[in-house]
Order: sequence, then C-alpha cells, then structure tokens
Amino acid sequence: MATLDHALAHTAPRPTGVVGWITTVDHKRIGILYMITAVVFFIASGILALLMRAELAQPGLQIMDESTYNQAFTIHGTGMMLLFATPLVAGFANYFVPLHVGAPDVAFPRLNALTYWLYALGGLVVFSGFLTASGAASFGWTGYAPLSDSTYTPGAGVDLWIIGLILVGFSSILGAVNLMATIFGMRAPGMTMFRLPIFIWNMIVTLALIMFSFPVLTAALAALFIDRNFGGGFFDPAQGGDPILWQHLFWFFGHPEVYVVILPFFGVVTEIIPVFSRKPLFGYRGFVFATLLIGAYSFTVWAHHMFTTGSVDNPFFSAMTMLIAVPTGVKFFSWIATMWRGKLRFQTPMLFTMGFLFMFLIGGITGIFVASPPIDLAVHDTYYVVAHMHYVLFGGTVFAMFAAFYYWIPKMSGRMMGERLGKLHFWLMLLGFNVTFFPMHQLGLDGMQRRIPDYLPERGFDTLNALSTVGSAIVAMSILVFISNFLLSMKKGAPAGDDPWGGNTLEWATTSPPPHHNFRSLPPIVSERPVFDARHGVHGDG
Amino acid sequence: MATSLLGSCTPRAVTAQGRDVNTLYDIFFWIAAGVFVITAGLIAWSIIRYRAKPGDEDLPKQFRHNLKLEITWFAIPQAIVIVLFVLSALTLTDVNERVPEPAATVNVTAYQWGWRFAYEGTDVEVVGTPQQPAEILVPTGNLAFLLTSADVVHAFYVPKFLIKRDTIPGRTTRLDVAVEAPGTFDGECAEFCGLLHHRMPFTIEAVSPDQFQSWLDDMSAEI
Amino acid sequence: MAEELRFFLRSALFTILIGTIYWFLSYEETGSILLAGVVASSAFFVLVVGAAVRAARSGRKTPRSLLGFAEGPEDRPLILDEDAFPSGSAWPIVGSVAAMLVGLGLIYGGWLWIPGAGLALAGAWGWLAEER
Repeated sequence: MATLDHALAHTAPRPTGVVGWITTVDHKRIGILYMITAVVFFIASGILALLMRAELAQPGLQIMDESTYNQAFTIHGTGMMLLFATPLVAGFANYFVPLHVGAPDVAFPRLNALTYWLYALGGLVVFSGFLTASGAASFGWTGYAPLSDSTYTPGAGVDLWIIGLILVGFSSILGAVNLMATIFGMRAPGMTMFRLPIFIWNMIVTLALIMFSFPVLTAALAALFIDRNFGGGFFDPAQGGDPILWQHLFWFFGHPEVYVVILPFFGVVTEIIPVFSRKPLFGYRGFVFATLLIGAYSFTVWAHHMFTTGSVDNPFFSAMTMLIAVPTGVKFFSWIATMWRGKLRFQTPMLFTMGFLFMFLIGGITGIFVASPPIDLAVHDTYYVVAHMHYVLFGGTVFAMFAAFYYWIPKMSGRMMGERLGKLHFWLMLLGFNVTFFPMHQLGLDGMQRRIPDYLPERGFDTLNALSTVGSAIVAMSILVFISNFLLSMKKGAPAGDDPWGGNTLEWATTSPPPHHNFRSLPPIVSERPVFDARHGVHGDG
Repeated sequence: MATSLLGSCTPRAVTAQGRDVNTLYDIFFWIAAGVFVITAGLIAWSIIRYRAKPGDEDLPKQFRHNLKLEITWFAIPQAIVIVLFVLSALTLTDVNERVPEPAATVNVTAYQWGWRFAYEGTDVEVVGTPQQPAEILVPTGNLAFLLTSADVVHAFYVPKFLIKRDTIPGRTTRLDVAVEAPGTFDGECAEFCGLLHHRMPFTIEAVSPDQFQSWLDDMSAEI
Repeated sequence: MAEELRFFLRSALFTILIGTIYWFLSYEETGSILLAGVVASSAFFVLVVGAAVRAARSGRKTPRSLLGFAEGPEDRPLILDEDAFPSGSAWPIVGSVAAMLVGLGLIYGGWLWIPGAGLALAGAWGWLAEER
C-alpha cells in the first residue's frame, strides 16, 4: 500500500497517514478503501470455502463438526454476496463514476465516507459472530424462517448477523442515492445520457436495483430481529405468521441482488472489449436497452427460488426468468460483434474478459435449465445449483473483477501490473475454477444436496468431490499469484502513464493516479469515448 | 459413457413423471449444447482470427450499428425461450397432475432430524431417526405423498423420482408419482434444516401391490 | 423529456403492467404489494428528478449536487469549484460507530445506547457545523 498511499498523498494539502485515510471524503480514497476491505472479506470468505472443500474431499467428518460447517457456509455466502461483491461494486463505482462522468467528486462526499464506515463496521459485526459462545449464524445466507428463529437457532451470533447486515443495508441504500445523484447531476458539459460510458449505464440500473431492493432486505431483517427478541411472530406459523413470507421478502431482494453484483461487471467488460479491440461498442443503444430490460425483469422473477414450495405461480416466474436470457444474449452478441474484424490485443485485462465470456456463458445456459420448473424441481438445492451460481458469480463477477483490477490498477496506482504473473494467475484460475465447479453439475444431477458436511460413501460422490477439492486448491494458488503480483508491481511496476491501454473514457484523460478533484481540463465530449475522439481527431457520434 | 452423454448425464427416472422430466432435460441439453457451440465458437473465432498483428497500428473499420442484425439476435433467442417455456409448462402440468386413485397415500411429516411416514386409512406409521433411518415400502403404481413439517422447512427429495417438494410447517404440500417398476430408492432432505440436515436419509422400496398389502397387514398386527 | 425522468417513468409503467398481470394470475398478496412498492418508489423518483431537471433548466440556483445537468450547452465551461467540496471530515466515522453501538445495544443491552446516542449527537452536530 505504501506506493498507493504515497502517490495519492501528494495531490492536495490534506491530512496524511492513517488520520488522512480515516477522515477522507475523497471518492478515490473511499473507493480504494471499499475495494481493499471487500478483497479482505473475499479472502476471509474464500478461506471458509477452502475449509468446506477440505471437509467434503472424502466421506465422514474430518476437520470440523456439523455446527462449524454450517457456520462456514452461512458466513461464506453472506460474506461473498453482501460483504465482498456488493461493496466491491461500490468500490469501483466510487472510484470510476465521478471520473467517467467528468465530475470532481461524488455529490455528497461526507455521506460517501459514512456509507463506507457503516459497511466496514457492519461486516465486522457479522464476522464477530464467530467469537460468541454459540458461534456465528448457521442457517445459510438465505436465513430461511423458522430455522432462523430463536427457537431453532438461538444465540447472539445470529443477532450480530442481523444487525451487521442492517448496517450494510443502510450503507448500500445511502451509497446508491449518492452515486445516482452524481450521475444525474454532475456530468461534464456535453456528456448527455446517450454519451455516457456503458459502465455508467450499467451502474444506473444497478443503483436503481439497490434503491428498490435493499430496503426490502433491511425491513425483513428488522422483522426477523423482532421475531427473535420481542416475540413478533411475523414468520412463525404457531403465532399466525408465515415462513413463506420470509422467502418472498428475501428473494424479492435476493434476485435483484444477483444483478447488482453482475451488471456493473457487464459494464466493466463492455469498457474493456472496445479498448482492446480498438473499435467502438457495437450497438450502443441496443446494449443500453438490454441493460434496462434486465433491470426491469429482475424484479419479476424472485419466486423462481421458490418453485419447490408449491405455493407460488411457477409458470409466471418461469416465463419471466427465461425472458431475461434474451437481453443477456443481446449483450453477448454485442460483445462478439465488437470484437468482429477488430484488432484484438490480449493483455491480462482482455484475457480475464475472455474467461468471463466463456464462464458466464456456461452459467447463463444452466440458468435456463433451472428456470424450467420441472427441471428445477429435480435439481433445486443440489450441487447443480451450486455449480450454476458459481459459474455466474465466480465465472462472471470474479473473473470480471480481476479484468477490472488489471485494467484499472495502473490508473489507481500509477504502476502497471506484471503481465507474466497476470497471465499465470489467469490460466491457473481458469483451470482451478473449472476443476472445482464443473464436476458439481454431475454431483447435483446424481442427487447430492447442498449444505451438507458429509455424505454416505455408498452414494458414489467421493471421486468428483475429491476432484473439486483439488480444484479449489488451484484457485487458492492463483489468488496467491495475484497478491504477489500486486505487491511486486506496487514496488517495481513500470510507470503507467496517463493512458497505458489507449482508453476511451475520461479517466484516461487525467494523470495516474488522478489529482485531487480529478481533472485540470476535459476534452470535448461528443460521443461515448471522448478520449478516443481526442486521440484520433474524430468529431460527432459517428 | 457415450450413452450417458447422449442421455445428457441425468440419472434415468423410475416414475412416469420423472421420465417426462428426463425427456425435457434432454431437449434442453441439446438446444443448450447448440447455443453454446455457436456462441462459444463465435467468441473463439474472434479471438483467433482478429488477433492484432504485431506492429499493425492502423485502426480497424469503426462500424457501430446494424439494426437488422440487432433485431435478429433479439428475435432468435426470444423464439427459443418461448419454445422452451411452452415445453416446460406442458411438462409441469404432467408433473403436478394428481394421480387418479392412488394405490397408497402416505402422510409424511419431516422433523429435526428424521421422517414420519403414516399410511392413510391404516394405523401404520414408520419413524426414522438419524441413527435409524426410515425404510418404507410402497406399492408400484400411483402414489400420493402429503407433506408437512413439525418444525422448520425441509424438503422431501427422492433423486430417482427427479423431483422434490418442500415440507412447510403449517401447510400441506403434495407430491404425486407413478412408480413404474419395483426397486429401492434413496431419499433425503434437500432444504437445509439445521445441525443434522445431512443425516435425514430414508429409503423407499417399491414392491408389488400384493407384497405391499401383506407388509401393511403385518405392520398393523404389530400395533 | 429528460432521459433521467424517462428512466423512472418506464420503471413505473413496466412494473404496473407486470404487477397487474401477476395479481390476476396469482392473487398472491406479498409479491403484489412489493411490486406496488417498486411502482411507488419509481413514481417518487419521477417527482424528485423532475423537480431537479426543471430547476436546472430554468437556471434557478440549484443545490451543489446539481452543478451540471448535462442538458446545458456543450461549450459550457467545466465548473470546478474547489470550495464546494469538503477536504476531510471525522464525523462520518463517528456517525457510523454511533449507529453500530445503537445496533449492538439491541443485543447486549440498552446501556450501549448512552455512548451511541452521545456519539450520534456529536456526529450530527459536527457534521452540520462544518462549513462546506
């Protein structure tokens, strides 16, 4: 961090050192804080996953008991979704939304700092459950009632999980409002809505999803807390409540949440592909339309997580879910057409983007399978679904996250990341990821259910599980390669210069790292890629 | 291996409803394989064919739109998902349909952590525990399972039936199947339900109606 | 009509359409109410954003956050008012610690609300007292 710190500290007469970081209201510093904290939670939740894989490598209980295993997968899910992926989005958004729209900072800088600290403290509160006598929450990140009630899962660990997530929920809502105000109100002259970078369009939809869905989660968590501590009975059938109510509330948040953690990364790869193909995005307006459609559909599919309850309208939710595949397909074809007849360069950001395309394609296709109720009734709550969601969230979000890191760390730090280690990281992760998660499709079809620490030897699950555990170790190695690459590059990396990739968007029009308040001057903005236009002397929307 | 791949790697079901799901899965599998090969092929082709030559600094042609193309690649996936939806909806009707005159109706109660099976119209009850999982007999032919839970949400799942249904406290859900041949089928709890979730296996043995009737009579006599 | 407005307007109209279909297909209350909530939230943003766009177009004094609605002329100079932005503040972290203490007080006892409320008041006071 020393280099980052040094590079950023020279930009303005502000408090330096630890005090400077704690009291900062600079969107770039807050963005970096968000990203580092999110990656710390990624590693913590990842270690939990490695422990689970180690336990599942063979039948029987070897390294932990049932209770520990249940806490591990609960905090793994909660941590990855709500303390890693969502705040990571906030991190990229914080750093790059003002830069992309040509603004000096976000609309409400102090509020921005507040949202970061609410998230960081909320995450610590969630993880502190491990320190309580009864352990952390142990009912899955979905927290299904009545299992999450005080009768079946007593203990302060669960209450800490609820309070921590409520803090994170408030953080997300306030952050979304702040960024939306920035995009709508602080765009540079000439930056009309249809000249916004695609990353920003994806963020607009993401922020709307956060604003409409996180309040539902926060309210549901408050109701659960009242149930547990004050005899509320919202979800308790014995008191006239309804367990299905919890599932409706949770998934009404939970499905848009999936798009909250993937849409911004659609945006990231849609910035990277044109830059590394040296062509404009094919079908800009179609792409925006597809993004809007995905956002709109995402609020109408929540109960496809509840097909097996027998109490929701399966055909309705099946139809709406399958419809989402269409705009997603439009995006794929736009990406392909953008590369078509381009001049493609495969530095590490583009490599990870290609990994994203293939892995997300597999996850998207199995998504159609589980959208079909008869198939879902067979594979729901089995490892098939575990495989599907990891192809979407790991193959999608995490691959695109690394693409974004390799693409943007030069801008944030002023130093290039190492290409050789970057490529090693990519190939190791691609291999490890597929060895870990591909066999899970077959395990699921064969009937291995989720969330079990042990399975009977006679069921024949052991070979594929052992294979999957080997894969998880390869993934862990690839992450270590990334961390070494990062540390080495921050010390000895080549200077990045303002625009190492031949970029399109405004962050490449300023120094690396950008000065306090970002820009000394801006190029004229006549299309969605002002820096490209300025470099090649192009005028107009083309 | 080849047959397993042709059959899209799903285990073959032992119920009439499950065979419908097998068929549906196979159709999905082959359409998906086609979509994957085309899309991944186009990506791979772009990667191989359009890689920049070293030293070539000229800009490629900067094309941006083609409305006809964009409409086409919206319309074709739309048509595919409509077909897949209609097929799914038809199969769903079969899977959810109540079987006529079930040869046995079993009231299933899930609890932490085991299953209680009670045969409707008799006093016969089989209770399983984590130490002693339940093993029940059913006749081949039409069966109805009426499912509920004594505590938290569980899910009644028999992999060879290719179906599961949640058991929800305060509600009764229903699962109808037609078992086509005698055999022994493993069952499990699919919805996470607490500490010993993985220790809720049960076994369903399908036998001829006569054998089933004599087993039922024996069980009644024991009570 | 400004694209920002259309965004929320479309969201409201789409959800009205789907919500109506959903209600008559399922008569399921929870989901229908939640969809109505999305419609209401979208409508609320139509009003808020609409007011901001009108203010920006009429050239009246606008809040700092609305420095540059990009609807203006393209040669309008970049407004970079350094004084409009704070350079650092300790009150956000104070406020978030206060929020955490209030939350933990619900678990471990109300005595935590005393420091929580104290920090919350101090944070609010300090925040509002800062000049820019």
